[in-house]
Formats: sequence, structure tokens, C-alpha cells
Amino acid sequence: MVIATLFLSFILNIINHGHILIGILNTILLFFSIYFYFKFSQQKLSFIKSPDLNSPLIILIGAIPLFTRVNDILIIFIAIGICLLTLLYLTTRFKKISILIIATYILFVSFYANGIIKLPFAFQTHLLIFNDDWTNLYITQMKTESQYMPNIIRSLIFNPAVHFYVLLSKIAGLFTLKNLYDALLIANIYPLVKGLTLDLKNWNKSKTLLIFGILLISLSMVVSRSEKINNTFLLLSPFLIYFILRGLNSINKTIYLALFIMSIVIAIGP
Amino acid sequence: MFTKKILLIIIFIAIIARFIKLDWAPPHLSNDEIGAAYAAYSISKTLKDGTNQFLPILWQSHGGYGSPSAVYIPLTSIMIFGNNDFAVRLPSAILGSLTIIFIGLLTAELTKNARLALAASFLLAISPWHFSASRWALESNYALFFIVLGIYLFFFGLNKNKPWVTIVSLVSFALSIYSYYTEWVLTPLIILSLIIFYRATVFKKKIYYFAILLFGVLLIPLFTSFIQNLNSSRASSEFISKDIVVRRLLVKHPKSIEKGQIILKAILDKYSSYNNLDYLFFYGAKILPKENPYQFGFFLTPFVMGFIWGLYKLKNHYGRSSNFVYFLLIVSPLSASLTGGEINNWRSLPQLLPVALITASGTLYIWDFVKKNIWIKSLGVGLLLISFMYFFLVYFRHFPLQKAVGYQYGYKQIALFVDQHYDEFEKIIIDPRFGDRNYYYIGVPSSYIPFYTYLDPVKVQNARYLPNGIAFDKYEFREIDWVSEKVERNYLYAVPYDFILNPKYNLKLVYEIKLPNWQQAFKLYTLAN
Repeated sequence: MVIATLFLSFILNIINHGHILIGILNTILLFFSIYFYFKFSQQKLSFIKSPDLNSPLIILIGAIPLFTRVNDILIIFIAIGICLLTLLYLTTRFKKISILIIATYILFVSFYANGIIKLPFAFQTHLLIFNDDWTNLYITQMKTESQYMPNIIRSLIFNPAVHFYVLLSKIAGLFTLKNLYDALLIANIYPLVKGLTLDLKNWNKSKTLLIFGILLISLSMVVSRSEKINNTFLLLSPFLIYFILRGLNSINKTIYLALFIMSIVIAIGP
Repeated sequence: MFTKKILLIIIFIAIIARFIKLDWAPPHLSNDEIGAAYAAYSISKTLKDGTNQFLPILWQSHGGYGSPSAVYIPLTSIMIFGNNDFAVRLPSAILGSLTIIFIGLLTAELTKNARLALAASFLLAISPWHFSASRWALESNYALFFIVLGIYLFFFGLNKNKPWVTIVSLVSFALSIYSYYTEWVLTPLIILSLIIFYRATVFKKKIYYFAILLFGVLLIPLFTSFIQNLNSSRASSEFISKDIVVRRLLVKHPKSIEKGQIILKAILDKYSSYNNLDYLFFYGAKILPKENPYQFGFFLTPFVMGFIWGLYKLKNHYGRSSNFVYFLLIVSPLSASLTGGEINNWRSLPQLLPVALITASGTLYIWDFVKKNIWIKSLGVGLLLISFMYFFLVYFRHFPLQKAVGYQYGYKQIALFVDQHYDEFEKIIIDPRFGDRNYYYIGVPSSYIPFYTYLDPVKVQNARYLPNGIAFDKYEFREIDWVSEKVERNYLYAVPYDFILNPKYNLKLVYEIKLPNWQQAFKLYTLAN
């Protein structure tokens, strides 16, 4: 069934944009994301039929728009890199070193993915959120409007620390329903939520990696003023696919299929 | 016990703060507030609104028809306290405060958990958006009160087996529909869900059939009025298909299937904007200009964790009622999602209810979970205090300074000036433009001036329509074109501060109106001797 999933994804790539190289890379990324799920949940990957993931719905995962678009080749490579490093983390004995490597890799490559570094190494400082003219202007204005306070208190209350608040706000803004269904289809939000709930119920220390990965990628992506939602979700793909597959066995198939049809109706709309 | 007392004190302070300086923040009566306030004043004096309609149900406001509660709720307070900002906003502050109490009672009724009830009241009391909405004469705030009251009474009637309470509950639901358009979709859905979720009891008792029948009967006058004014009703003009972007797409794709797909996608996108953590906890209150980073959501940011956790653990507190709370969360932004334009926090005000119930549950759960860790608790309380302090500073200091123009600040001040100098002028001509030369907005001085000057409403009802405006008594509200203007002695002109004068006329500045941030707003001129 995994083969069918990958095949569907590749075919949709060809139908959507006809770019074979991107199609192959997208399909490889989807494969590694699925492989990450199997590895993380300590299952053996079977291309034909997996004992733990026997729902035929897995084939429909191949229709996820995130893996069928004209994605930037560099970003797909970066996302594959994240998959490989997390797989390395799962197999190696040197967990602490590998987590350090993952963190460094994510921090570094996110700057490419969010446009702060342009190839080969051109640092676009003006794109950093800390250089947002509006924010800095309003910090000054708020101070000016607070002249009834002593200067030291004014500076304590209105200062560039507000950029951190903006960062948090942007992270919250990443995970909107729209961003999720644009990347994954409405139907897949259902198993995603189900998977998250199941993992919360059976929480153990190893799952911290998932939260760590999601938070670190989100945080490093929103440092840029120009939001690249699609790139963010590409980097998050192994974690998102993990939760979707985790929840896939526990969902109501009829509801999922109904949502899938609805997703397709909307997705093929003008 | 100590924590409970502290929470009660905070709730009390937050309620009191809803009544303080109502004429300063928001800085001026808004377009919608003055429309309703003037209609209320006019009805209180003549039983007719500004357009000469006898006791209208849906009354003609600026650009559509307003809901009945917007006029009839502040009417009494205007009659008692006179034509001023406090009188217009007082009912909203009262109903907002009562909502805080009733949300606590509702939580107690649903969960029998006094701590959770207190937590829900506390959350709403310090919610930036509810605080803000309670200080505006906002129909959606009246509607929220009636929704919360209706649901509370429904459960009270259900649990205590009191038939008359059930009837009052449905009357309250009907009043919510009389209050705001959002509830036209939301309230029936809530009633339907209550019937379905509690069908075992509802279908057994005749009182529910009677209450629902009464609900339907109560709505007949409203819908009759709606049908009579269908052409100019907001329901047809504000549907999402009228949105500029959507409309363009619909023109490009005339096939009905494609149209359906476009509208469905637009509704979903809108729904997503409303059901968004960023909107609910970071910027939804929209107190300051959108580029300003010191924004606030419906609830203070530290509560975002409580909301996420509450979503997951809701059943622990609410038991079988949790499905109803989830349902409320899903449907509360639905009507707002059906409308076009930018996301509108007035329309999504009902979201306060489910989000408060869920967040209270999650926050209490986290609080109990970390009970032994004094450091985490201190950090949480510290973050909350800091957020609250910021909110108070922003709301009472920076909001009036930064947003006064959007409230058409200055028309009240013009009214107060002309009221004092009424006899000195033969004609008073007010240009409805405001803002600055880069972009002039069009205001409604024709509502502000008669309201604040206590002008006889009969004069407004008999207004004359000019080619470019309206006139009544000695007032003319029209755009001034100095080329064709015949300036006479004893004419008073009120124009935007940067309006270029015609050097042909030797006009003298008689009064200048400044915004709260000391920038100029309007200048009043008359011909020099």
C-alpha cells in the first residue's frame, strides 16, 4: 500500500506540473516521512501491507498537496535532510550528539527555507523580524505617548522584547486551519488531530522529539518577515505525516472519505 | 479559599473598570453607536426614529438596517442620563458585567464545580475583547449576554425541573436574535443542538414544545420587518459572495458548480481566520492599529496553553456537556464566516463563550497539575499580571491616542461648540469628510450634531435632501466646494483641519478641534468682519 501511496503521489505530481525531477523528489520526501513514522513507532516498514497500518486509506495520503506541488528543489532536499537526521537519531546510540546535530541543522537550513539566507551565503538582515520598521516605529511611539512615566520605566515597558511576542503570535498563526488544509487537505486534519490526541494519551519521553522538532522549525521559520508557509510545512512534513498515520487507524472511515471528497471538490475549484 | 477570594476581588475590580471613563476609552462614539443613540433619542421624544418610522423594529442605520436592541436597550438610559457617551454605553457595561456573572453560573450548572465557575468568570472579566466590547454600545455584546443567559436558564430549567425558567430561556434566545444579525444563524443552531444533545428530557416534556413555539412566535415581528426591508437589509449585502475578491472570481467563473466551490472555499478560509490561535490570543481584540505589535487577543496570551489543554481535557470537567461546548466552539464563528470583508471581531464575539469555557477548564487543570511547583505557578501568575498591566496601559492610554480618528473624533466637540454659539450663526455648514488630505473618510455628523445638541427630532425627521447632502434646522451637512460656495456673513463652516480654503473669502478661524494626541482634526471658520 505504501507503494500505491507513493505511486499516486508521483502521478499527481506529473499531472499537476509535469516536472519529473520535482515529482521524484517530492515522492522521496513522502517516502522518508512515511518511513519516519514506521521507525518512530517501532514498526517494520512493509511496502505491500503493514500489520499495524492496514487501512487502505493510507493510499489517499499520496494526494496530499504538500507533496504534489512545484516545491523548491533545495527545500525538498533540506526536508529530506531533516527526515534522514531524525532517522539517524532513532537508530544511533549517541542521542545527545544527534539531537545537537538536528538542532543545528534545523536552525541553519531554516534560514535558507525562510529566505533569510540566499544561496550561496547572502544574509538578508532586512528580512529579520527584528528589523521590522513598523514594530520599531511603534515601540518609539508608545514610549513617546508614555512620557508621564519616568524614562527608565518607559524603556522597561516598551522595548524590543516585543519582537518575541510577535514571534509567538506568528507561530500561533502558522497552524491555522487554512494553512493546514492547504498543505494537507481538509480530510487529513482529522487523522492529524486524532494522532495528536492518541499520542497525548500515551505520552512518553521519546515523543518529546516530535514537539521539539515542530517548535524548533516553527520558531526558526517565523524569524523571517516574509512568511513561507509552504516551506515551513515541507520541513515539518515528517512530523505531520507521523501524526496523520498515527491517527489513521482510529478514524471513522466514512467521515474521512466524505471529508476527502469535500477536500477534492474544493481543491479542484477555481 | 484564599485564591477564590483573590479571584472574586479581581472579578469585582474588572467589572467596576467597565464603568470607568466611558467617555474616554473608546475615545468617541463610533459610527454605529451614534446611529443607534440618535435613533433611541428620537424615539424617546417622538416615538419615531430619524427617518420618521413609528417605533421601528429594524431601524434604518447608516448603510442598512440596525437590530432593535441597539436602539431600545440604550433608550432608557439616554432618557435618564441624557445625550452623552456614558448614557449610550452604560447598558453595554451593565450587560457585559452580567455576562461575567452568568458565564460563571452556567459553568457551575454544567459542571457543579465552583472553582471552574470562578475561573470562567475570571477569564471573561479580564478578557481584553470582552472588556473592550462591554465599554462600547455594541449590539453583539447585548446578544452575547442573551445567549449566555439563555443557555444558563436552559440548563437551570433542565436540572432543577422548573418549566417557567425554560420559557424565560427561550425568550432570552429570542432577544439575542433581536440583538444582532450573527445570532440569526447562531441561536437556532444552539437551540437545535440543545434539543438534540438533551433529547431524552426535551422530548418528554410539553413545556419545551410550548417554549419553542413561543420562541417562533416572538420572532414573527422581526422577520416580518426583515422581509419588508429585504432589499436594503445587511444580510443580503454582506454575504461573502459580495466580497470584492470573491465577486471577481464569481464573475470569471459563471458555472454554478464553480461558483459553489468558490463560495465554499471563501467560507472555509474565513472560518479558519476566526478559529485561529493567533486571532484568539494575540490580536483579535484589535485595540490598536494593526501594524502596532502591542496587540491583544480575545483572551490574554498566557491563557493560550489553557485553551490547548482544555481542548484535550474538556471531558474531565464537563462530562457529557463537553460535546455541547465543542459544538459551540465549532458553530460560534460560523455566521461571521458567511460574511465578506475583513475579519470582524464584533461578529465573532460569541466565540468568547466556548473559548472561555474551554480555557477555564484547561487553566484549572494546569493549575492543579503544577500545584506543588510554586515556581511554575509564580511564572504563570507573573506572566498574567504583566499581560494585564500591558492591556490596561494600552487600553486607557494608547488606544484613545492612536485610534481617535477611526471613531470620527471631533464631531462631538463640534456639537458642543455649536450648541454654545447656536444663536450667533444663521447657517451651520458641516463637511462630512474627516481624516487628512491623503484620504478623507466620510463621517456622519448629521447624527452626532443633533444628538449632542438635543435638537428637536421633528426637525431631523423633516430633513431636506440636498444634491450632495442633507439639511435640517440651520444645519447643512454636505461636501463644501469653495468654487461654487456662496459664503455669507454669520455662516459657520466646519471642515477637516487641512482643507484648503478659498483665498477669495476672508475666513476667520473661530475654533479648532484637536485629537487626543494633540494632532489637529477640524477647523471651524466664519467670514471675517
